[in-house]
Amino acid sequence: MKYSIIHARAGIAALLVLFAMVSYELSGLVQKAEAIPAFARKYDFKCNVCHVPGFPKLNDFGNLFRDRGYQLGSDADSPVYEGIGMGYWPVSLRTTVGYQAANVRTDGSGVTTGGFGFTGLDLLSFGTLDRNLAFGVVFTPGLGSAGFGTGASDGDLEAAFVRLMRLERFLGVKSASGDYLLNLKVGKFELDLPFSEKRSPTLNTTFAMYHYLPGTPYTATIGGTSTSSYLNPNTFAIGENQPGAELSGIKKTAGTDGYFRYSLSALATNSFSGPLSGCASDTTCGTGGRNVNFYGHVTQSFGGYGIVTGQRIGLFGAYGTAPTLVNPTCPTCQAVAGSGQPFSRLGVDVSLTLNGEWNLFGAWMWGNDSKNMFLSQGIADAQNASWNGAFVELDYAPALLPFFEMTDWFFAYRYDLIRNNRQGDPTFAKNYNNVDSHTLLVRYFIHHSTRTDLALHAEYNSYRTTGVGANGGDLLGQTMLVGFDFAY
Amino acid sequence: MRWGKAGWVWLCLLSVGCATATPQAELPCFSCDDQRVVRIVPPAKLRSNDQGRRFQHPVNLTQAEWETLLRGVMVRSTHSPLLGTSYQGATEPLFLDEEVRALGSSLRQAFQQATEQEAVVFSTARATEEGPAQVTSGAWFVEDGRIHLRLANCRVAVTMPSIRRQIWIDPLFSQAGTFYELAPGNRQALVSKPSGGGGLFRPDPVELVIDQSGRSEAAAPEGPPAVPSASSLEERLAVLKRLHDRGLITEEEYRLKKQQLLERL
Repeated sequence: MKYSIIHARAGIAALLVLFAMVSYELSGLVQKAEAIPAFARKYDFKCNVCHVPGFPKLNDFGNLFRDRGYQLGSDADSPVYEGIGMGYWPVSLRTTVGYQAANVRTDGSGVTTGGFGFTGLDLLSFGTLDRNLAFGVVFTPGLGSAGFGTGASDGDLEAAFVRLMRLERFLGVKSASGDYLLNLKVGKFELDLPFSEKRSPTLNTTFAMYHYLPGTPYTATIGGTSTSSYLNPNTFAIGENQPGAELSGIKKTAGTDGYFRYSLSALATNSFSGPLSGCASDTTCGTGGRNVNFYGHVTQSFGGYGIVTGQRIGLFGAYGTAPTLVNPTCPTCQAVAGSGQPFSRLGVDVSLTLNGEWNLFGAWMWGNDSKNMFLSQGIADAQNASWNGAFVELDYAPALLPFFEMTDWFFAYRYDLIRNNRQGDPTFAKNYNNVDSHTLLVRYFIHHSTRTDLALHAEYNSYRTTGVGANGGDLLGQTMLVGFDFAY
Repeated sequence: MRWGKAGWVWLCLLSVGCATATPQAELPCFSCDDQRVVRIVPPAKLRSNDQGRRFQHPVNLTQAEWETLLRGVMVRSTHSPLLGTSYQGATEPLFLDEEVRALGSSLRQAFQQATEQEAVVFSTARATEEGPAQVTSGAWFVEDGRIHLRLANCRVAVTMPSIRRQIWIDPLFSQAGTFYELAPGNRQALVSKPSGGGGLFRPDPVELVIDQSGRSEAAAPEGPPAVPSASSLEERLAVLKRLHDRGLITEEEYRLKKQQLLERL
């Protein structure tokens, strides 16, 4: 029995290696995800206290910890608490090293690339400045060979925010223990998405719905090149970190044994470099613009938080306008939005759990961009662009892998879907830029402590984008990644 | 055709799903609930290197004797910071009074029924004021006339119900990352005996061996004092004060418990 288990483990490792060797292909934007060992060091917690085994996906406790401003409600929340973990260092880093391959095929021909390398680098610092004063900073340095050597990356302050917690106390409202009814976050941050992309275990596959833009081929969205497109001044995507302010809150609901959460954000995000209405051909005009957009998300869970235990439903949406006009008082300044160029997004999300090990979740979103956006770009007979996006993901995090009696495995499958109802440019087919994407991943938590994480990661993605090939054919892509994902 | 490509994915998921439906065998259990479990385990449930061991079971210790043994098990916190030197905290009892009473009763019953091939495993969860529950688990057995405690988890924070359930099923299922270590007292020693329960990145749990030369000594072992150290007493008083301030205990309960703690000085 002893040797059979050893052989089985060796077999699994061999399969993963084989998976790497025989897979061909890929391209790809490698997604950045977050795991914060600094918290483990601060509280003397092992990583799976806050994460589903195989970080970075948060479990129920970790989600509550985040929603409550990175606080447990104990003295140790304060950064100057004398009993704080001696290993505490408030900065974490994360990257993935390994082998990535990609293949993109269209119109009967394809290109395959692959190589060893690393994804990129995240330097993260999250925590509290004091009781009920939270902060977060994510710095991604510019690298010459990021994305497994596929290109350089620009340095960026991907997130930087301060969060003021429990502001209801200034309104004379006394909240129950564990409730944080009114919190204000200001800066640049990830929106309160139905399911966080930054904390998704998928490393080289985006949530298509979060980044989809009518007129821009999906392949361009994930870092590839676009072979056909039409201009759309709306660059708002809920999956991108946005500068703005967010009001949010969480309340335990005794009637459901769950939690009610809400968030409402006012954002200023747009940047568009296409033609602007009112800009004469011989004039230098501003090429970017900013407008206030809004995003909101409410959820109600039952029998738990809804990620590891219980179930959860949610409703989310966004509304805004895209800048298309030259600023009449300052042509070289940022562009402004004319009237009648709104966009809207509306969706629902559901998360179901079973046995504390299975999590089936997904979201559906409807999007609409005003035809005036496309008219501003000189598209004749422009019409409103509308589309539906969705995804469904099944995660399995067994406490003990059946048959093999091994701990710390994580499996996931996700299907992403985009279906266009109407194109902004009527010369494009209705199904132009439709997307089908399948992702399968396996993670094995090689090591995790109260200091560090190391996971073996294998991920495969196959996608099809309709009608975006050079000759109007479909574009098919596959990506494969096998590597070590680590955080310190 | 597209569904065909995804077919094997669903097949794999279905296979794993069916596998998880494998029923767990029922084991004799004492005082089993969501806070505590004490059970006899057969050889097949022990770690591979332990399966050939012969224990001196059954054992007839009284509840009071078990409670004395349990009170004599001491631990101390230990930290290895990123920079600087490691340090150790104060020595303190592993089990609280409530845990000693509950475990003492269950261990007495379990050891009266255990055979020479069976060990007795335990898990206990301790609620903390705001944070996650702390789980302590391991196994007890008697070998070579001495009582052995193999501690797999010591006050490990557990939030995932699946992990907690797994520890309840198998208390020797070790979670890495403990910040406590056993502190042997008189007539106690630590031994590192590979159990086969570790792994490439998981050290084997250590065993605390308690010398039980004669029942009278077992009844009154010369272990570390059962009286809590000054620091642990201070912590208990602070916890008591917080409970009172939050209205979780009455004024009368607060004064009574405070008096009891102070009398133990």
